[in-house]
Amino acid sequence: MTEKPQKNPGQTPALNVAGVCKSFANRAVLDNVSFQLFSGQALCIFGANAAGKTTLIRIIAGLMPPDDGTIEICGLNLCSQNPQAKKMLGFISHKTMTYPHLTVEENLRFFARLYGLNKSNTRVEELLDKTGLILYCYDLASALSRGMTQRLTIARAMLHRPAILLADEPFTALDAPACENLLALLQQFRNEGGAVVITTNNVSPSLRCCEKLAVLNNRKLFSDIKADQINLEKFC
Amino acid sequence: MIMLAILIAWIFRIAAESAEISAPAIASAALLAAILFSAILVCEKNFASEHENDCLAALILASADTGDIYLAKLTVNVTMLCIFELIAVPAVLVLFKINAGLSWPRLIIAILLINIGFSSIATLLACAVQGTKTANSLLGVLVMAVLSPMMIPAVSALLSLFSQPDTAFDFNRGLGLLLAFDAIFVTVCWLLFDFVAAGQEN
Repeated sequence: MTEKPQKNPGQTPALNVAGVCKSFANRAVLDNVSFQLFSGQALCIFGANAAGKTTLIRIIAGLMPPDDGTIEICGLNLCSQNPQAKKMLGFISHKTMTYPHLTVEENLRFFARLYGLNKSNTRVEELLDKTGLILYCYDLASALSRGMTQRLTIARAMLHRPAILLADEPFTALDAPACENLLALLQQFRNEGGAVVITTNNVSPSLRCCEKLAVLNNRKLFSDIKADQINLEKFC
Repeated sequence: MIMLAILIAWIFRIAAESAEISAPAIASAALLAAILFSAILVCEKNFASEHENDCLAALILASADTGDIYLAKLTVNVTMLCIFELIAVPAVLVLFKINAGLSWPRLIIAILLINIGFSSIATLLACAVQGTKTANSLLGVLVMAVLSPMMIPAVSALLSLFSQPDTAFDFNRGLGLLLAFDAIFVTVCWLLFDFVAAGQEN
């Protein structure tokens, strides 16, 4: 059973996913997935391996076309108003999405230029400071630890001040302090009015940062799940 | 790349000595072979760093139009080929003793059009085959198959330039066809890049 879009006439949802379907070679992966997310909210989508979490988040990011359904980012249709809608998204993949042969600072400056930021130097320095990467700014991205790499990935995703942050398995291979740091950065992003969507099968850190929980199982998205309804044995 | 070009020219030079083929004909073939293999070498690692860390997704998200990524890569590849040809073209001309009365501006225009045509296809296909197990060999086979119709006007234009006296009619006809191929290849590849990049994501 998928969530019916809630009527909220006073506010345009930051993210509106309606009736998204996707299949690969006649194997259905997502069936009529719908949900809404407003600014400042965080949604965590749980699911076992191969449940379709990455497919869903990449469709929301506009990296993969859905077979059916629509995605609206702050009221902009991701298909028809792609460039404007894309600018409102920040994406964290379980891969780093940074160039290993560039330094931390070079990576951020490169992507800042791609996003066409006016005061890119100021923004890069601000993010280096915020993510605690200032001491590592001249290190090659390939030389960073997993935790530091994840900070760089977040800094890159936040460069252009997106309205929505999409994070695909952000806690994978992070130790406890790195997890804490990531949670703090996500909370900070939400406090500034950003919406967060996380897909994961790592239950405990996700429960701490998201008030909305959903489970992707058997091609369907089950929304408004309570924390005690999550089957820990299934996902941990 | 430069070593490869000189080696190709040298092999063609040896073949020319033992066969009754005119030096301009074999020189144009040698130059085209050198440019073709160099284009494949330039393009084969084009998307390797993007593939490694999912950077292509980051580029797609950051750019206003996915086609911009293709045009940027194409520009870099054409520039790289032009730099390589600063050595390869004089090497071929010296080896085949073609210099007297050669029209350099026309040669430069012809080579630039050949570079754009070769690189346009090689750049798109490099993205398509990136991540496959046989990416390098597959790229070579596909590029040569797709580019084979373009070889005819390319050879015709170069041959007319290298022949003494050069034949302006053949050159202009070859140049016109090269221009047409470039326009078609670049436009089609630019439009297709969105689908190819999305295919990489799938």
